[in-house]
Amino acid sequence: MANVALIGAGGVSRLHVAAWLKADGARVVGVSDLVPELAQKAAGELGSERWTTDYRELLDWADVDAVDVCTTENTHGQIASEAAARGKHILVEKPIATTLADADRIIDAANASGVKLMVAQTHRFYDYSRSARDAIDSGEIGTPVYVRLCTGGGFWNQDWTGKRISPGDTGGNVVTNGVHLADTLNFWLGSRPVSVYAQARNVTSAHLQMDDYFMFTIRYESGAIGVCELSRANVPRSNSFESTTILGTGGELNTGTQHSSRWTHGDGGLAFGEPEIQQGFDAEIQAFVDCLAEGRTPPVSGEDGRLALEVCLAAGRSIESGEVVLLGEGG
Amino acid sequence: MAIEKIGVAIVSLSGQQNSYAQALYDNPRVQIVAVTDDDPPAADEQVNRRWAEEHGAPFVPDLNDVLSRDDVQAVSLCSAIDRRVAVVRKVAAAGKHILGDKPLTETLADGDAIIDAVDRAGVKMMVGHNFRFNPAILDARESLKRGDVGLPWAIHSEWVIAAGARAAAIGELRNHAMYPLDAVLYLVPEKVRSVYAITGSYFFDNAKQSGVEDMAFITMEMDRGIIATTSLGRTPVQHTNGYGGDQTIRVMGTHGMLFLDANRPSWTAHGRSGTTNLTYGPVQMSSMVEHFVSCILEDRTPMCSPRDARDALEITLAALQSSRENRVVKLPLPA
Repeated sequence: MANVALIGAGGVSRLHVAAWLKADGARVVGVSDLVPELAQKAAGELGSERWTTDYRELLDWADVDAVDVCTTENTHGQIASEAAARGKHILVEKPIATTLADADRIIDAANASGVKLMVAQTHRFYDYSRSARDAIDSGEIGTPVYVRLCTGGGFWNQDWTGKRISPGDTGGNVVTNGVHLADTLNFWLGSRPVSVYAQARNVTSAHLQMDDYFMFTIRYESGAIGVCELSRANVPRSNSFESTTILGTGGELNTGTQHSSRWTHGDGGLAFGEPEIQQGFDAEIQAFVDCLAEGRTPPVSGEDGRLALEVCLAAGRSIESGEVVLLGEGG
Repeated sequence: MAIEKIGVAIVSLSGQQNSYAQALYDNPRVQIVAVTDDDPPAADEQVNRRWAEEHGAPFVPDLNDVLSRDDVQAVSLCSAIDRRVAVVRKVAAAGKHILGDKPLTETLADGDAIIDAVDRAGVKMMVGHNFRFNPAILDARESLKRGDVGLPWAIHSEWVIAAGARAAAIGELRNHAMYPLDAVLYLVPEKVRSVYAITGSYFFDNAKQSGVEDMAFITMEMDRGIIATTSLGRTPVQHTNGYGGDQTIRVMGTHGMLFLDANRPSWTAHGRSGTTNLTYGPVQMSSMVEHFVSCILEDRTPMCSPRDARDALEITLAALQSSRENRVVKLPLPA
């Protein structure tokens, strides 16, 4: 039974809490959050007696084997590298960090102390993504050479008020949400990204100085094309358009023009069924726990998380410059 | 009262002529008055003669003899692309209207020469971008003009054909990109300012051997910051939905989203011969020919002009260059 401490009890950690409660082979023994009420509430839900507002105090607890870092994106570098130095295994929310320097700091610290590091790229664990990868691995469509992943809807259904809209804290939309898409493409195509070209628009969020729509094209070492698109600018807001095509040298995987199994024409217009959000978190956290129990290498490495971040940082630079950005240049 | 007809000469049965000629033959306001060619190789002449016999039209070996006749108002022109400028000049100078095959030219300079020849002669010319006449695209244009989705700020198109054992010898971009590009420019009539593309030879041996692409993804930036993309290619595997591929367009607007599927309306038939898609309703090739005929009879300017063909070619050439050099290519290209 692994003992886990949850660092950060707001935002996405709500989904982690639900997953930890179901996890087989681990329990949460402590929670920290800067907001005492959040730490206390999560600790209560998880059946943990201990909570604190200082994560360093939690790292002192000798019975903690692993930490789950769900804090604001730009704090991952500091917190996760400290946890590694204290010998704790690490599950860190995506993006691994908001800079490559911070990502390296985490990876280096984990390597130095020999702890396991997994980046919570949840989309690797969703059924849609896993089943596509399984189909690719089965050889059914030959070698994948082209992926077009379109996802999106109207304005966020998450809290983007307060600091959530600050690029300095989150890395901005292209980083914090883009890593899902970049990592999924990397996961499916199994090749190394070479360059990125991106476009972004501020369509419905004129007052927020943020792009609510972006798309980018990745050229892969294998010659494959990766295209992804994330819109939070659809009008009406209920229009969550989803469509994915994977072309292989011997076939095709295609969702058609809509992933959703349900759509409703109501007085509010056309609405699509929401994807099951919790499932990916449950699978991801169980995978982490299993790696701890069996001493295996986690399925999403620090390098995987860093690569997704690198793609998205390059996309951000491409949006600024209007040019193609080669990976491995700058940082 | 007899309906007014135009006399049309079929020039060369190569390229897409079989489709054009059949649609012309089937049009009640068209009389096929001659089948001819411009200096054809012997094999072509056999094909020309056979079609003429099968359709009860006179075969006339020499194009010059056809162009001097008063009963020829228009020609359907599919002679080889490297002879096209010369033939268009000759036909236009004779005062005949022209339906020209796609791709219209290989180079922008040839495109300019054709535009110049047609303008000087004052004849009408339409290029066979028949995809624009798909009922879904014509309907979408009206919807966008009505403001159904507000102002478009992005347009995403897919034009992937799932058929055949070979990629086009000239590459699928030169072969087919004019269809979605022409439709994109028709639906969102803004100038393209920059082009980025990745192409690959993934599926067909002949594409790999000759280094031409069978798949491409193009991102364009238009005036007013509008994003336009096109997936373009050919895949060897029969589509599971029975379609001949995916031909879709999605327009993102300030007040809504428009999605069109050019393979609908249709029945999906699961039958003894497998799964096939049975489209019904107006046929784009017939609609295109009807438009051409109407424009001649009513003295209007046809859509899909040589300028439109040049615009699509310019984006295509920019896309090929962009993929070779892995950089964004700005338009206009030098002619």
